[in-house]
Amino acid sequence: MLEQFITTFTECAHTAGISRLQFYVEQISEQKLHVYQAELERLQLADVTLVYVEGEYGGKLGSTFVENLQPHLFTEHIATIKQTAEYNNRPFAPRRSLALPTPHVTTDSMPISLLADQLKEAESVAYAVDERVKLVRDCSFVGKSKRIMLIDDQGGQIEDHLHYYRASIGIIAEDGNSIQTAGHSGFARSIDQLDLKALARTAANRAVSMLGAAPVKTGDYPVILLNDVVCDLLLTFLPAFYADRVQNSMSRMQGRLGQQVAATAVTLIEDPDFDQGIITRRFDDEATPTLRKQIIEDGVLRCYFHNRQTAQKADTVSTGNGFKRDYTEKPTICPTNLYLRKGDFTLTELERQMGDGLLITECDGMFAGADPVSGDFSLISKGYLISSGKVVRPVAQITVAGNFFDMLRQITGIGCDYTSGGSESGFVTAPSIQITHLSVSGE
Amino acid sequence: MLGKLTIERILGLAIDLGGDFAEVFCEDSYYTNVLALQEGVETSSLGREAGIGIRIFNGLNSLYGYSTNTSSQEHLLEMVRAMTALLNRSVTQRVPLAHSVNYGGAHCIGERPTRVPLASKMEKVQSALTAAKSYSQEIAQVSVRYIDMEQAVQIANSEGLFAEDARIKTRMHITAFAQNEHGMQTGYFGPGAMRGFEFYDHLDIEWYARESARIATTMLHAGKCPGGQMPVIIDNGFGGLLFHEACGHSLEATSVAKGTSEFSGRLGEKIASPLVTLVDDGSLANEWGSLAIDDEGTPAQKNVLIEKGLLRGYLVDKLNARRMGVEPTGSARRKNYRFAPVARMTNTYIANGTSTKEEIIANTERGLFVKYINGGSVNPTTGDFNFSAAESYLIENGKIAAPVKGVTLIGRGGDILQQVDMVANNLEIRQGYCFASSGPLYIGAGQPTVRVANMTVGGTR
Repeated sequence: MLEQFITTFTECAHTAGISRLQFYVEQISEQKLHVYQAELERLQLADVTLVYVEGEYGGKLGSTFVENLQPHLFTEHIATIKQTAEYNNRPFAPRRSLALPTPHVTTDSMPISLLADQLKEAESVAYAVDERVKLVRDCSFVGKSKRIMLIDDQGGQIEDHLHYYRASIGIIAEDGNSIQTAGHSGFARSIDQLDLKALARTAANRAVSMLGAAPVKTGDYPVILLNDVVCDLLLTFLPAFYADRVQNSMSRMQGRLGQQVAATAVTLIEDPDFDQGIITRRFDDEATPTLRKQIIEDGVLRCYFHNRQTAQKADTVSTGNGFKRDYTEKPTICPTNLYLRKGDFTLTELERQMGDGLLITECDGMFAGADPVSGDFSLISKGYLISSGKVVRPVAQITVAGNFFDMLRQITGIGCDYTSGGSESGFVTAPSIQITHLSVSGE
Repeated sequence: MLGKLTIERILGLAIDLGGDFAEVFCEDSYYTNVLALQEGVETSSLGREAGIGIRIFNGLNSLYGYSTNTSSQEHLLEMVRAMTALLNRSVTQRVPLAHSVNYGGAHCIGERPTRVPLASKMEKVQSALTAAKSYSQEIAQVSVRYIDMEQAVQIANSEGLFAEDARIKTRMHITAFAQNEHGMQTGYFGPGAMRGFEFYDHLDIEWYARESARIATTMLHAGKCPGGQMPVIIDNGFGGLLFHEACGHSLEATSVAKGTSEFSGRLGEKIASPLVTLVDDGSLANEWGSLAIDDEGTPAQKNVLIEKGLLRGYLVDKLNARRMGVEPTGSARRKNYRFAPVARMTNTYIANGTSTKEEIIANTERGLFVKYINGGSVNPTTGDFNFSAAESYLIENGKIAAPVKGVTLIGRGGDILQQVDMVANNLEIRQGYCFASSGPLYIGAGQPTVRVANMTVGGTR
């Protein structure tokens, strides 16, 4: 059906005066399972084909997106392409043709009943950790395969694949006086790399250990940010390294290439082949090959993330980061797999090195309480009070505030404990880090 | 859209293969989404989403399948077979579909967005860009996002329901960036409604543009906020998002049904100050968060959640209604066919009190005045919520004093509800988005000016 759509739509569009058609196609299949109290409570299956069409009209680029491939809507699609071309103030620049062999994709899978059994086992492991585990509220698994095709009306076609799994465990712990929640999730490119029971144990231990959490006094504290928090902060502030933000004066990294922007221990690398990453793309959505690169090397800013448009403006070449955030939009800038290079310290060693301070294990409200432009953040947080290098008690109902870019220079220790998080619009792996101090509001 | 016969076959097979309830949600939606800067259009995304979502219940368990391939009946039936593979055959009887009821006329719509040329829409964008930019020399950049949608839906189920609806929404997001040698701050306003292009007939879009520029420049000159506990006054309008976060999510069936909300099993109890009446009303005429019918086909209604401090109700979808033993409340929502619906808020607001805004400020010796807020989130189990202020001021000696930036407010829903000690009489509802398990959705949030006696203010100094 897709092939037929492309052929017939191309003919109609050509007749209507639209030339050089380019199609971006996503074909996604997905399975989601939720287990609750030893039953497969929710099962979701999906298959979708999503098409984004671009073409040249009057020397400009016009576009539309299509999910219903039936011909009765062609007139509307063509009118939309023409209207959007009219308001596009950039000249049409065709995608460059790229000859890449179609990858040989081997995707593993497991019958739904077996996956459900694995989740049920993980659920019972979580309950067994501690009698204060009141409810396993989330015990879920997602398997996703995505085929991305770039097709043009000159016979060009290249394709890429993503294939990954994600498992999540969410726990509610209660002890009569206090109630706390915690979660943990894991990503992998094959099912057997996901250790559901280990995720369950970690989530359950985290929830139980937070019971009785209370605020600390308002003030400045030395801080260790747990790896999960580092991932979340990196994902939030990463746009500061995108060339479009830099060129629009919306980044504190503007004009800082070649300068020291972080402590010397900081090296930030993007690598589409990173073994713990899920965005295994060979080319971006503009058909530029992806590549491994150092964004920050020993604290020095080495490059920005570019797409074709920003690269042209900066008189350089695209770094292969011209990805769509949503198939309905033109490519902007997104990273593939990014990682903050790990150091040598275990979390216990970082705590000992800090002596007195806070270990922050969770920050929420990132989308509203963190400003990627200025770098300022003020976030509701949870964690533990550390005294003489040892955990004293759990802490909640505090905010932790600071500036991300100032914080990069105040890193005094980097852990060796990688964890990962993110989405198909950017996937980050990071260890825990120690910071000289952050502002804490509490009692 | 699907033919009645195809829908009957899908529902029939789902019941035959073990479902005790089956539902078809078919959608065909047109979207306009244009982002413009002063230099011109930055991105435009116009097109059509279309697909089908099939949902099957088996007791308290549910199956959901979705696809864009709506033209092949065999493909859809195959999806039903795959979904139900682990079910045992049941003995449920299916009710044949009734005549289709079309709810598309429930809200008065003037000009449908698909009938308005992009050129007319871009004129509105241009006026907003110009008005914001000319507000001050400190405005370095302005971005305007023009959004409209026409979502046509077909909802049918094995209880015989067969309904159609058209949801039409129009909105403009205006963001101004103010810059000086000390840094950059943003200001934002985003008016919207359940209306077509006639929305702009009675809207002073330039006022909204100037207001976003005013917020940005005010914040550019704002000092850092001191942290700690203090009385907090939240002004009328989108400040109501405080209650959306602090207790709205915790009253949704997703949290309540399994006993995991701090408000589970507490109907009739006093959970808030007697000054607090909280309402969720999806039937308000032409509001941004309104619906004619929800995404399960139940007509939208006014739901009183808290009445003078007493917990009166929850927001409930069909599946959780089974678990809770109550009726659905017309609140089941989803972004599109790619999500199974769950109970979500529509337009949520605190009802008017009897104080005036002036009285509330004059009665506050020291504290924080929050004029506009950005957004927030909540953990419904513990009640821990946070939200970040877009524009706020210190209050000194009963008067509004210097502006402060970097403000985050945190608390526990249950505590904050009890601590509301003054409510004004100037209710206003504004427009926003809410992010939860069935995707980002358009919502209204509103309140009169409200004072919370004591809150933790996350400052940066």
